[in-house]
Amino acid sequence: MAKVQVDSELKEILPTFLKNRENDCHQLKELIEAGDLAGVKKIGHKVSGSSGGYGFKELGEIAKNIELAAESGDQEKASKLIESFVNYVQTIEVEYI
Amino acid sequence: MSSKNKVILIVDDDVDVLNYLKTLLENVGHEVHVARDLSSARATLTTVYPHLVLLDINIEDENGFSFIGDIKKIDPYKRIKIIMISSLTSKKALAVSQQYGTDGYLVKPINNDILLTTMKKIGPSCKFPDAKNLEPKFSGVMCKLLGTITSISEVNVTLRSKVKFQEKQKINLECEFIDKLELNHAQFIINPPSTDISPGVYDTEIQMVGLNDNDLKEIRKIKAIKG
Repeated sequence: MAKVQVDSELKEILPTFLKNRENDCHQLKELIEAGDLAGVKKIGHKVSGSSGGYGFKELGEIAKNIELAAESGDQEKASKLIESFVNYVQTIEVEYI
Repeated sequence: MSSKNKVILIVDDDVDVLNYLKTLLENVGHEVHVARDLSSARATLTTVYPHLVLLDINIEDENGFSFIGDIKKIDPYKRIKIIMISSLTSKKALAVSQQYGTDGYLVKPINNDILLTTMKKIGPSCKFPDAKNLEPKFSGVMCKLLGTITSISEVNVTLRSKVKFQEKQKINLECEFIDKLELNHAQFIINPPSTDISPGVYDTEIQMVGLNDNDLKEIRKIKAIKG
């Protein structure tokens, strides 16, 4: 379970953020299956740049590692990290503070 | 709008970053405009004159630095402040940012504390000079402003803009609406002072002098249609 504390100031925009991460999960699975590491890197880069601000520091770190693994051409590592990413997104529980 | 509140343009291709920065900055009273690509950002610059631009370096297939030239075109005296935002932490990215003469560099992810501290720091330098009490030798100075004609009567039009007029003076109106009614031959004279509509937005009555019977008839037709 990924329990995350989020600033209540972000309550209105958080659903869009979470919906976008669900879309990322689908895209990442498709891209890694197709061996498209450039596409994987792009999503990793994007998520690592936005997650921290919303309070999802751990997700941002996973995304950063996905970006780095894809950049170095390590498909196996990227694949494992994508599993972690999907697992994290699927188990997010938000607590507004 | 208080002097502490600024007009800010954020340019970033990531909708989550835009939503995040927009929410936080609006919550502390700033007026925020967003653009997801450089063509939208350029379009925004034709209607908005921001105090500050938060500019992403990597925007899809474009380079954020290239937008700095567009800003300089409308702001040769560098009154608009520019802060680059990027995940890039390399010395090279920072050096390039400095070479372009930007006013700061924020590394993503940007959190609330970093953003508000940055605004506190740069806020005082985000200001435009007041143009008032001009000496007679500067009386020929001309400037352009953007606004919207919100109403018309047989004697005046109302201009909604971000400029608060304090003195009676002539003004040229370039407006499709005025062109269509063929009212360009009239003289347009500001009837001060402007009235406050919302923070930073003012309505100014502009008297139309020299209209003929036909002009008045055309104006009445519009009123009749609207009514």
